[in-house]
Amino acid sequence: MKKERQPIENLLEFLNRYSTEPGLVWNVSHLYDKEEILVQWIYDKTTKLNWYFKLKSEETWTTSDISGLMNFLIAQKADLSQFELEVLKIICIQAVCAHYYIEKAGELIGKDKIDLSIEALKEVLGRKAESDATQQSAKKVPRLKLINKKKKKKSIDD
Amino acid sequence: MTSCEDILKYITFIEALRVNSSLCWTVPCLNSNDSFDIEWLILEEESIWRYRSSSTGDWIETSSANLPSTLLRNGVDLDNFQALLSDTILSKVSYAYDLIQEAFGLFGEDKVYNIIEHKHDILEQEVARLIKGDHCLSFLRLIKNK
Repeated sequence: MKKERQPIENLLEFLNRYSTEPGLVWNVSHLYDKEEILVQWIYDKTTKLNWYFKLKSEETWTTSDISGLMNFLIAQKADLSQFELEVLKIICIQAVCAHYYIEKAGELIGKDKIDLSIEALKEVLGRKAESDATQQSAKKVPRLKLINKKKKKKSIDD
Repeated sequence: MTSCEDILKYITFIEALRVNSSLCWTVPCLNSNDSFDIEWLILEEESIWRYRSSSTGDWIETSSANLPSTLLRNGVDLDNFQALLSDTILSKVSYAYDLIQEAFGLFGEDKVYNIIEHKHDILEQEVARLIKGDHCLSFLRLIKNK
C-alpha cells in the first residue's frame, strides 16, 4: 500500500521545531529487505538542511531538507510505515518527558507559578492564532471559493 | 532569603533533566560592583559547573554541590540567582507545554497514550536514559494506568 508522505512530513517538521534532543538517528528498513537506509537529524535552527541520509554501505551522507529526505526514501523504497512509527515514538517520548518536566518543575517552583507561566503562554499562542487567522482571511478572495476540497488527514492512521 | 540548599535544589533540577546542553547566567554581587558569570554545560556526557568573576575573568570549575557555598562566599546575590534559575526553568516549562499541545494536536492525545501503553518497555528504557532518576518509571506507570 502506498504510504502518504504528508503525515510523515508533519512529524519531521515537528522534530525541526520542537525536538529537545540535539540529534537523532534511525535505521530505516527497505520494503523488500534490501539495503537499510540511515537517517540522521541534527539540531540546527539556522538551516532547514539539517537532515542527513545515506544507504548503509555508502560512505558519504547527503544533506537535505524534509522534502529531499522524503524523495530519497520514496525513491529507495524505504519502509515508510516503520519510519513513521519510529519518529512517532520519539515524539511520544519527548511529550512524556515534557509532561514529566512540567510536573517536576511544579514541585520545585510551585504549581501556581507554573500555571501562571502556562496561562501567559496560552495568551501568547491565542494572540498568535488570532493574528494568523486574520492574515489568512485577509488573503482570501471571496469569489474564489474552493469546492470539493479534500480534508487534510490529521491522524497517522492508514 | 535564599539559602545554599535552595540553590542546590534548582541546579540539581537543571542538571538532572538536561533540557539544554548549556546555560549561562550573570549574577550581581551584593556588596560590590562585581558580578559573576555562572555556566552549566555538558561535555562528553559530563555535567560541568563553572563560574568567573567579572573582575578576574578566569573560569573556575566546581561541582554542583560546592557551587552554592562558593557563590555565597564570593558575595553573589543568591536571591537574584534563584530568580534567574526559576525564570530559566519556567521558560522551559512553556516550551514543554507547547511541545505537548503540538504533539497532541498532531496525532491526538489518545493516540499518544495508546502508543505509550503499547511501547511501554521501550519507552521505559528510553525515558530512563533521557531522564536520570527513578521517578520516570513511576510516572510512566501512572500514565499507563490512565
